Amino acid sequence: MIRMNDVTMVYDNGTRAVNKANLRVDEGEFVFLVGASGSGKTTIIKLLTAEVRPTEGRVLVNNYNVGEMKKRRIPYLRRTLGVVYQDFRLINTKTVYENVAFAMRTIGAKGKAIKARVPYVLDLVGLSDKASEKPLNLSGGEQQRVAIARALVNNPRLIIADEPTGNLDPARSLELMTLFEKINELGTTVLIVTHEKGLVDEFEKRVVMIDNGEIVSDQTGGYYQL
Amino acid sequence: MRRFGYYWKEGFRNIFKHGFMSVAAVLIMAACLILTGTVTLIAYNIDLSITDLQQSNEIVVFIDESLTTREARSLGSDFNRIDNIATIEFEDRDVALEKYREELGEDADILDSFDSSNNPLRNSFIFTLTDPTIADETIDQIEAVDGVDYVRADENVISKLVQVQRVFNIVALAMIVGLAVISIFIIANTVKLAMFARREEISIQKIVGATNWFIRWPFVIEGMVLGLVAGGLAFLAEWGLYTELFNIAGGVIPYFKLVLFDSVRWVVLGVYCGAGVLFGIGGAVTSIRKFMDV
Repeated sequence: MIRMNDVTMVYDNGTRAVNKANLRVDEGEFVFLVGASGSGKTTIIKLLTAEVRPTEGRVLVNNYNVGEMKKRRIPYLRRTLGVVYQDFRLINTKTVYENVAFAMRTIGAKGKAIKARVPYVLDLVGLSDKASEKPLNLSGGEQQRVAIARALVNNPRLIIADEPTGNLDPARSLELMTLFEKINELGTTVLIVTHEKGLVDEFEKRVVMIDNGEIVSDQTGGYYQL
Repeated sequence: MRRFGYYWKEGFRNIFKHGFMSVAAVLIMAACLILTGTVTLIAYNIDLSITDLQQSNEIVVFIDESLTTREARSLGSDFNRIDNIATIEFEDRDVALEKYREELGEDADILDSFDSSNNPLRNSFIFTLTDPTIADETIDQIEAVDGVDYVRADENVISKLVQVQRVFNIVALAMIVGLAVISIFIIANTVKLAMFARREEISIQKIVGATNWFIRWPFVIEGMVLGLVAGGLAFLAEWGLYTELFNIAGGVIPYFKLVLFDSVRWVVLGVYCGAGVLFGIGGAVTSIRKFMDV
């Protein structure tokens, strides 16, 4: 699923965002990646989605070697992932249904498959009754659930969420984490980047902590100190 | 096939979403094509006229009267050594007198007092040249042959036309390059606008695993359609413009004949539409690159 071996990432401006990091996430796991702002969490997400390539070390995601793969192969890696961002990244001119269907259409899915799959994932995230709404008519929590539906619709093996509750109140955040837990129980591996201690503690999952680009702890049980 | 339909639908959506920019791009491209096309067509006509002159224009070399017909004929071997001569024909002075009589027809009686013993005409050679652009040098070489009295040629007309042809060819080439740059720039900006408006969609497409070509195709189609429309419009305008030019200038300038538009119609249509499509695609592709790095 995910293998990071002695990974270092130095940006062009000299910033060392990740330093000799080692991480292994297996199929079916639920992992929180925690750390303060600027600790290197987002760079790890970028490494996993092949937005950047490691300066040193090896990054394997769903059997794709991010450091060595050809640029034209990157879309195929991304098709095995579902990514959820803090700012939702929805198309406001499209309806909820169209936003989710758009992700399937983009990878060339047939109309029949889209018609069958989109209602299923909207039901999974509890938005069946909002299918014809535009995103701006929804609450923050609902918008994030649309983003999750979009991430799920192509049936990825791994869901990566970058601060998915950053724009939500505590109650909505809890609901959303429960949804991720449900998705994980259905067999999808989940990696959530967050710095919300309360939420992490609530779920008692594996917690990987990063500080100054280095992985400083990796334990199951949920507790961490910033 | 399903994707093909999607690309076209999205391409046309881009065109209509930025209607004003699309119309402006088409008009500017069409103007560029008309300008270049007109200059190129004029250059083509000059080329044809020169080729015509080359084929019909003869250099007549008159031989010194002191040489007998046999001696004059023998000069042919000297002329044969000159490179630029395409054809050589010897004209016996007696044959020339007979020809002249025939040309005069009813008035031939004015030559009644002349025969081979007092023939006023000279033996001559008639040449055509391989390359009229170096007519001056060739005439110098002919004149240098012993026994040549004088040479009659319209080398000034040829050299003037060759000069005009060179200028037009340079202008046409410069305009083609200029057109390419302007057209690509205009289309690139139109497509950039469409891409900027859809940058969120593009970034989402990248996240969920769209290939670069899946994202590019609608914009390439947009550029291609705009270029094709510009090419079609330019063709229609050129048709009217050229016909008008033909009516005004055809036959007025000596040695310069314009070809009928009908004879070049399909070539002009093909070149205009082809250039429009090519520049449209070029503009789209150059503008897309920076949006692809996600």
